[in-house]
Amino acid sequence: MRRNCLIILAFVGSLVTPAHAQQGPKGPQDLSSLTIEDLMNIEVTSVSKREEKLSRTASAIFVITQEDIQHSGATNIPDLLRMVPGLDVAQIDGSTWAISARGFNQQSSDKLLVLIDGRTVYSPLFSGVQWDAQGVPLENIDRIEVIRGPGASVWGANAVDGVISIITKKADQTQGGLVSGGGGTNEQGFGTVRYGGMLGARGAYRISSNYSNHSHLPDPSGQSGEDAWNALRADLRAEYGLTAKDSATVDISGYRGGEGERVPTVTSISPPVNQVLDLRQIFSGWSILSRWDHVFSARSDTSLQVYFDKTDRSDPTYGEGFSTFDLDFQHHLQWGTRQNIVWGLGYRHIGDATQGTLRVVFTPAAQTDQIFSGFLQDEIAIRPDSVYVTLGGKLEHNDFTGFVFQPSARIACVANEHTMLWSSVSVAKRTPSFADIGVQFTQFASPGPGGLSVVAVAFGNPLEKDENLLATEAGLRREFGDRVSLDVTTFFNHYTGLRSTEPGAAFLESDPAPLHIVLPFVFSNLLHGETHGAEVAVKWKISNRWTLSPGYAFLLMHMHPDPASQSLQAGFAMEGSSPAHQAQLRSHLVLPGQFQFDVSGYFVGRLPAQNVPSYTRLDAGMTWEPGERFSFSLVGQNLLQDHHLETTNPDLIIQSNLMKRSGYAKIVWHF
Amino acid sequence: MKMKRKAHTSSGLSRAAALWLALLATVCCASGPVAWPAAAQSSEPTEYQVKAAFLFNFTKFVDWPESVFADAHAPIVLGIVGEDPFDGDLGQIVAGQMVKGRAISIRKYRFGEDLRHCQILFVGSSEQMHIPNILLSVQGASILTVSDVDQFADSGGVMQFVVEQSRVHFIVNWDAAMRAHLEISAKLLALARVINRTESRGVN
Repeated sequence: MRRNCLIILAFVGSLVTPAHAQQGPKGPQDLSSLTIEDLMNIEVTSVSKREEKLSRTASAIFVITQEDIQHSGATNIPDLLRMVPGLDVAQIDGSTWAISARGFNQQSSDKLLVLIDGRTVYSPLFSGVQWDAQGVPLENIDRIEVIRGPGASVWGANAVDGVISIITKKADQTQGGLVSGGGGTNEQGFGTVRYGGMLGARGAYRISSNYSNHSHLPDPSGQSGEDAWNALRADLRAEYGLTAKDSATVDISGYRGGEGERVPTVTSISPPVNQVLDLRQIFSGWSILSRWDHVFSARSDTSLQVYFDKTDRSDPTYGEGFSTFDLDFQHHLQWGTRQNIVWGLGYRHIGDATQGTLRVVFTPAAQTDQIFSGFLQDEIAIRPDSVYVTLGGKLEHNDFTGFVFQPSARIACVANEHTMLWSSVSVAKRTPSFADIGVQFTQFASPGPGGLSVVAVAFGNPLEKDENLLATEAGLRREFGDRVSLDVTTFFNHYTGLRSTEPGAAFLESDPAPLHIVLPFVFSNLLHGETHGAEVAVKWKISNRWTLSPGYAFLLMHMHPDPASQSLQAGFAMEGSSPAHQAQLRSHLVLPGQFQFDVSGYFVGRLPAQNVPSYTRLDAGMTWEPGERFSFSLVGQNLLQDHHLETTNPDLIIQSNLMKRSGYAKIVWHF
Repeated sequence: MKMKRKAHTSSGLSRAAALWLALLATVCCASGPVAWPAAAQSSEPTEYQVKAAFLFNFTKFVDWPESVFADAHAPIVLGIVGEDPFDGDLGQIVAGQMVKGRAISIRKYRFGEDLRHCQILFVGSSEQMHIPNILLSVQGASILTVSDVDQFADSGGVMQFVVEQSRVHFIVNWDAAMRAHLEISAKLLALARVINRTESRGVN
């Protein structure tokens, strides 16, 4: 393994040295003879600054910009993430999504770290993300930075296969008022109200609230899937410059919502009855975050962040509530002329309380986990402006598996102004969630020998260990003239200690009555495997009015049970639950008369283990912006088919429904 | 691409690595010169070509104290800190130009270097996070700081480009220009949006 990595690094390095000086194709425009008045009258192609620069970041980063958000027609964050090549977004029902990077997609996808303004939003209960509760108004989002591959040397455990960082606009960028609203066939009604003002000469604030109401989706038989949902949310942000060198930020948010869900469950042990219940789940939560940034000098600055986050969720079969307190300190300094150092210390306390039923029980019902962490990252300019090496590592201690060390080494080579190559080797770990340790999940009951019922139950394992990843990545970013940019990433991941469910010895149980046989499946770490693949993102500005953004992702997964494992199906179930091929094409066209026309097509390959056929999703939208204050848009989603299935959700937590063709109209007013 | 399922790790691992290397090689071959469609050519100026021409024009309409130049022939130094968005265009525009008897030279900086040896400092958007630091580090020096990062002039920068209705405009922070001992011509000010103007000091 190590030898392979060295070969790859040497290979990348050898490609970098012949830095051929390549000039852009544009002819030299003699603008120097023009006066300022002339210059002020030239119409320019306004392109996002972020797209223009060839980022030096030595990882597979994709940034969803404000323009991308406006052009996407998406009304929620999961649908926005479909545009990132290498992310797999599968909607389960109206309010539930399975999202992962580079494989392992399921409702409880647990290897992806998601942050909103620096606050982690994955559930410590199952390490996954409840996307219905992350309804930040899209109008407030500045950008979404998606890193595929490990980010663990900075972000810590669970940043295994990717990091999604949702960054909202600063309060001083959202001054004045905004009202937006709309409705349609599936998105029955949605709206956002926002107002921003100044706090004296040195500060700014913003307050916003948004609501959405969604209709039922069809179930696989074509009947109503009983999964309508709604959510109400409010956000407040304030920034204040305390002194010339100090600034403070406060972010407060709260939300509440309810959603229908179809829950497959055992309703009676004897006689054995398995039913799908139509239930209603209520979710709510709030958080407060504050950050203090201090600048010592041009070469040194610090940031201290503290937040508290409370989340509750319940339906008639189950209830959970957890609170997170997090303290995070970071110091950035330039050391000498060649080293850029960031180090930090963190503390997190998570407490949770659950309420179980026959279907799902946690043991213990309430517990806590404390995480202490420290990280150091040093970017060294080996050859300034061309070769940068970044070494970093994070050391964490948690209550379940003790010390966890996650190092990484990255190299970035800027071959010339238009070409950049990078490669990395990193270690990342997923620490056990509360569910991995102590869940008891009753899956189904069936008639058994001697008139006794047999009940299959998945059990958490108090001895559950970390899942480990050794990731090797390499990538290329290149610009061809002014109008075409290319970003290619390849990766080879080696996993050990992946969670498997091992059949245990059947036993008799009398509580709950009557006496029945329990067929246990116990979480263990007896699976290993490799994944490899490539992701390509292209942006082609065909003309000033037309941009095409094709993308493609390829993924191969090979999972193997350890010799001690008796779980024969686990490998295939994992390999066949993520699409091998995904492709997309997004088109943005500016039409005369302040009209814009957007079309996005997404192809997702089949999921053999779930019997889900491949599908192509087509969204289209027309926007009219008669001035700076108003915009009107009409959007159609899933236009190609009446309905399609994206996953059968083998987790058995809820039943999946079909995505249907839909449309909505929207109006935005700035004042 | 067709792959056989591999039985076990060691050979599977090296074969997978070989496949990965092959992919990488494909990627790297793609990095050679490739003929792209003719549509990739453009004739109208880009945003940054226009901004480059603005920067050149600023040298004509701003006066620095003589003391900032080593001698009567020292060039006007146009610094760029962070990633250079001008893609060589700035160099082409200022090449061979003489302003007030001085040539114009371009100097690129990385964040953290001493930035005080230039007369105009363009702060690239890559340095957005470092703007307070950068402004602090050139405090007291006679430098025309320019950027197109939002709120740059509000945070103490001298000039900020804004694109409005596809045209490039600029904001001047009067107070910041005064503190840097820059004399900005009335002609330039008339075209700018001026903020933080303290009338008591008057206009030259």
